[in-house]
Amino acid sequence: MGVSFILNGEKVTSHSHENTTLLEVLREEMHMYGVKKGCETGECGACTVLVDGENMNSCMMLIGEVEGKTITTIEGLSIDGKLDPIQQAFAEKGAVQCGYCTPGMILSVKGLLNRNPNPTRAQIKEALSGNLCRCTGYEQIFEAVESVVEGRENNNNE
Amino acid sequence: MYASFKYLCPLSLKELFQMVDVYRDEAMLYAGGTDLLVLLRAKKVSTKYLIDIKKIPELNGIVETDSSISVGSASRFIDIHNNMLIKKWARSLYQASNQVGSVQIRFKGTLGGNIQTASPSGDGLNAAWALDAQVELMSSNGERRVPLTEFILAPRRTVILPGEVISRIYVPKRKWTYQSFFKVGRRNALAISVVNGVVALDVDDNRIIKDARISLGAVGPTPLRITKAEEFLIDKRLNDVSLEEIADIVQENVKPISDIRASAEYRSYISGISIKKQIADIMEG
Amino acid sequence: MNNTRPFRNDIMDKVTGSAKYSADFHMDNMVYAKILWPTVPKARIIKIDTSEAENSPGVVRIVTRKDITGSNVSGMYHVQDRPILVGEGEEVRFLADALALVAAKTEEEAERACKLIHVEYEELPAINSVEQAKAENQIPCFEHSYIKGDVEIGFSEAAVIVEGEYNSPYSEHAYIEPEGGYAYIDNNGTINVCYGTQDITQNHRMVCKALGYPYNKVRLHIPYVGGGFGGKHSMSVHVYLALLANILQQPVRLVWTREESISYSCKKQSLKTKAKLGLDAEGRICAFQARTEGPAGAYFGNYEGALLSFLNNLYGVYRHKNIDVVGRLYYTTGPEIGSLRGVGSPDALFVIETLINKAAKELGIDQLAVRQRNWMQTNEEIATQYEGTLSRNVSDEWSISKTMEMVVKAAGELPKPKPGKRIGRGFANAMPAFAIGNSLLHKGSVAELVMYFDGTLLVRLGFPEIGQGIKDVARKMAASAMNLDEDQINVMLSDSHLMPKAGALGFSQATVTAGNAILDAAKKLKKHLADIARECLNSDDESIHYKKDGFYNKNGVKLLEWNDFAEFCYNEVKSLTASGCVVGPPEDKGIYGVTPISTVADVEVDEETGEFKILQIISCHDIGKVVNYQSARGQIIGGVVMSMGIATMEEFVMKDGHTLTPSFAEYIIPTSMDVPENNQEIFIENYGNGCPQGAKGIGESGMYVTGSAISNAILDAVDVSMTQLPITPEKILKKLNKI
Repeated sequence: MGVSFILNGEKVTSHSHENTTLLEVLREEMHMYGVKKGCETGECGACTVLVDGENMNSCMMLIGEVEGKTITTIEGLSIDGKLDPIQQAFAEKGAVQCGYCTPGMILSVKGLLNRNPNPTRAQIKEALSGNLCRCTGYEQIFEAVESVVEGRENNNNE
Repeated sequence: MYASFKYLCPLSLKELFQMVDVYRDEAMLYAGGTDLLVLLRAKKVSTKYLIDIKKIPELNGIVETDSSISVGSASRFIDIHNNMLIKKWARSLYQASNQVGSVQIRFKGTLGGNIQTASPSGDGLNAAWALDAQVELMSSNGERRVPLTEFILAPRRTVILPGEVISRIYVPKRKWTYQSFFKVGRRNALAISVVNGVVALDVDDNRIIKDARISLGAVGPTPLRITKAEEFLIDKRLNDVSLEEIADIVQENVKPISDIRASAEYRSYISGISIKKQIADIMEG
Repeated sequence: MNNTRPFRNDIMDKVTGSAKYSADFHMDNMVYAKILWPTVPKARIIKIDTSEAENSPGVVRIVTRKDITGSNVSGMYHVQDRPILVGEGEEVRFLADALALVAAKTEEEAERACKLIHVEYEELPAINSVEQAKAENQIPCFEHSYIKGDVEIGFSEAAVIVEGEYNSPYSEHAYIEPEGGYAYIDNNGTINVCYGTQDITQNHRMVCKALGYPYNKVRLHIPYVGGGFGGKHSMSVHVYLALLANILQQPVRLVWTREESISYSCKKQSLKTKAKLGLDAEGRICAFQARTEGPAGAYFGNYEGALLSFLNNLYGVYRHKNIDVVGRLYYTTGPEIGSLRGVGSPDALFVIETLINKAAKELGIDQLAVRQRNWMQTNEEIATQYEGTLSRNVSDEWSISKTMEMVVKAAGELPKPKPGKRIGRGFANAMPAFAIGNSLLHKGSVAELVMYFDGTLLVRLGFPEIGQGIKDVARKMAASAMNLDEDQINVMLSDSHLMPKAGALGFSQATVTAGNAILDAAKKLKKHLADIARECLNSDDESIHYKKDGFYNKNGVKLLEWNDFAEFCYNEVKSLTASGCVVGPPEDKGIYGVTPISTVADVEVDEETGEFKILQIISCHDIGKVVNYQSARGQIIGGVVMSMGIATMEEFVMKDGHTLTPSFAEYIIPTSMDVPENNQEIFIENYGNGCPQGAKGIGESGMYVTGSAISNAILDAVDVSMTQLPITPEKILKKLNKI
């Protein structure tokens, strides 16, 4: 039987025990190791994935809850090997040091820009407040997000 | 990671009640899970059946009735915050919903869950408490409504009976002239409230306070309405209110404990100051 | 092969999610292990009964003390005194003294089985505080002092004397990746352990000695590491993984939960200091006295180094006359004291930098003026140095004043406070040390360069990449030294079999140590290549030298094409490698350079609520040379936010040997909404002599005086000196007598 959902554009079925979190399923059954385990209590955001476009902590979901839903992990962000502009901006703007918070952080940015394509610095800060980073002090992450927003504006103006 | 439980996902109230009546205290209800999953993982609670109520239509949606805004217990904080009816009629709840945890938590946590968990520091809970919300409970025997202030007895203890589910939360459509929610935490996000609360004032054309709600969380075993402070305010002209006195009354009438986050003295003090500041802001217009 | 990537390799892996960290490896037949921790912090173990657990579903093997045939001791650096596993009849001295390992088919089954192991304890009296240790007449397990001049005379000359009681509690590194790793036996029968660490060389020696395994049959290497900050040197999973892999002869994974990571990993030391400072009528420090004490935990860890590092910065950057400073540590039933970015120096600077401000305020002179009057000058010695070491300015210029000038300028006018609020500005400065050459933990780190026949270069280093950018620094230095393009350089790190020896990654010296080693290796390699070229050309022209595309003489005439040279080497089976290492002269026990830093913080305080908001923090660091601006900036900003967290919200709390703050709900670190409105860094570059291309160490720089500047700003705003960390609204209100 199992639980079927769309993972990074493909239909998959999980046969994990129903008491397994989405985080565990993604990592151990689907081998999406880009989804990180940082606390398992919803306090750090390292396990953030997109569920129907909304950024959520996969440690706070049981596998049964995602039946029929569309899940995007960091592995599913680039299309045909081309980096998503958020990934590109993170790389260019020094927003990555140890990289452990990075997948979750990028997906929270994606979730933000899904909701609000033109966020202010204050809105960016609020949107990322569920993703802890111990290395960067966040500043270059904010700058990366702002450069994506700017890039979009430039594209729109062309 | 969790003790073995069976995950059930009823699609209707009827299905839910069938399960609840059969499994009784071997079952727990599961909405957002942001509290419950943490407890299950820590083995602080265990259950044989976990019943996910999120797909039940009657527990979802935010609708307007003649006298209230009816919030489905499975409504997520993000949906509550984004809802125009809530913004219009329950501004404190609108504000509180945006300060729970983090974005990710708000995409998952529900008001019903917050109420069922009954932690005195619950942000959504405190806003609803101040606004005279009613809790609707449904079971295979029918339904009943309980004022939220009577629903919660102590941390994690409510008057919910076996076989019941919190189905809806009714927030009266009351046009308070002013209302706001505040939260004091040890950091600006992902913070369990050290103290939180609501000030709501009904002020007439002559600036006389006709009614008031002064409500505080995390300063007692349940959210607390400071009726002495409310009485102090009623029939006074808004701009004549002695801010120092209101702060003192609040401070004297809360019963906080000291814990890892803050001391009782600080909680008492900051309760008074926070209410004072909310009223001062209101005075300035 | 795609060599048109514009970014550091590791950055691409990280943004795409393909970077593998310690818990991300899966192998066929892998089992999962969990550790059984004691529930009583101080006890003799009477019995460990594993019989019920062994029959638990999924259990493959339970490992106890009886399975260890080596010395069974580990340690953080050079002193090994901590048991790997505590067995029957032996003592548990704190809650991280592991009792058993359970390997099972799933992690959940391993955890379940752990709960079925029945342990009989004979509880022993624990020592839960320094007060209790002293009351029981314990002598300090470590004591160090600096006495110069005569403080009694000094204080008698003082126009103003101020005192302060300081407390800096335990802090947790809180890397977002908890400890973890996996192990397997490879085709050579070698035990491979792959785990997140900052120190392969020392860990390798420790594992082999502790377990009694031959060094050449145990290989430690690292994946991507999700942060270290000094917390990933000590015993965590590696020795257990090696043990399990050897016993099971199949792959095994062991990963700590966040609660295990916070509860059982080493901590930044907790210290209380009573300090007294006297200023004469001109504002010069005439005497400084301090008594510091703290718990040492139950094992050596790095408590000596931590206290020495603290004392090393307790007098900061000032000219000294009369100093009387004593530090003492006492054995307790508590966490292992490790290194946390800055290793206690930020807490020490917190004492002197805030006390001097308090004194200046009382004397009626400005906080900048008091510093100007007391700064050390170029060749003066730092007052409270590590014994036998030399901590010195390595640049020709003395730049502490310049760094202060820069932040004063950048800070601009103090903004007007909003109604009901006050704004204050605080300055602080430091000259913290980084290691060059013969420091105890870092002496003799080696770099190897391997040149391939197509002219590309491989750099092999023992240091791990934990996010700080050492790979990139290594690439840049090698490229510049060998005159190659960066994309002709590949860097490999951290492997006890394949990479050379390295010291512990820390003490802001990776750039310096690795850089110097690379430059040394490059020099040797170029000479070696030139020697071969001479052989090839049958010439004894000593001026022949290597360039990217061939070999030239002193007149710039190209004598040999690279391709011809490569062909020659290939046919003659020449090895194109060189090894570099820089040590100081044998008589120097440890050489440390200093990185001058000044910081300013503007803080808005609400006197009614005690809440404070950091409006801006600007710091200026003299880092000798900026190798990669973005990385350097990231290191400083990150360090400032981390130290801001430690100064304003973080506290690891112990009670009766247990922690009250085991998860991220209780041990809180800054989120994106907690950062200062403006967090700015300025670099100045005064070439560091003895440093590779002049580049000084910067990994810890952002940590040192953030808390000091914040406290000084609060003093300026509301006239109270905050001395107890973390600074919270509650504590401010207490000082303002509001509660």
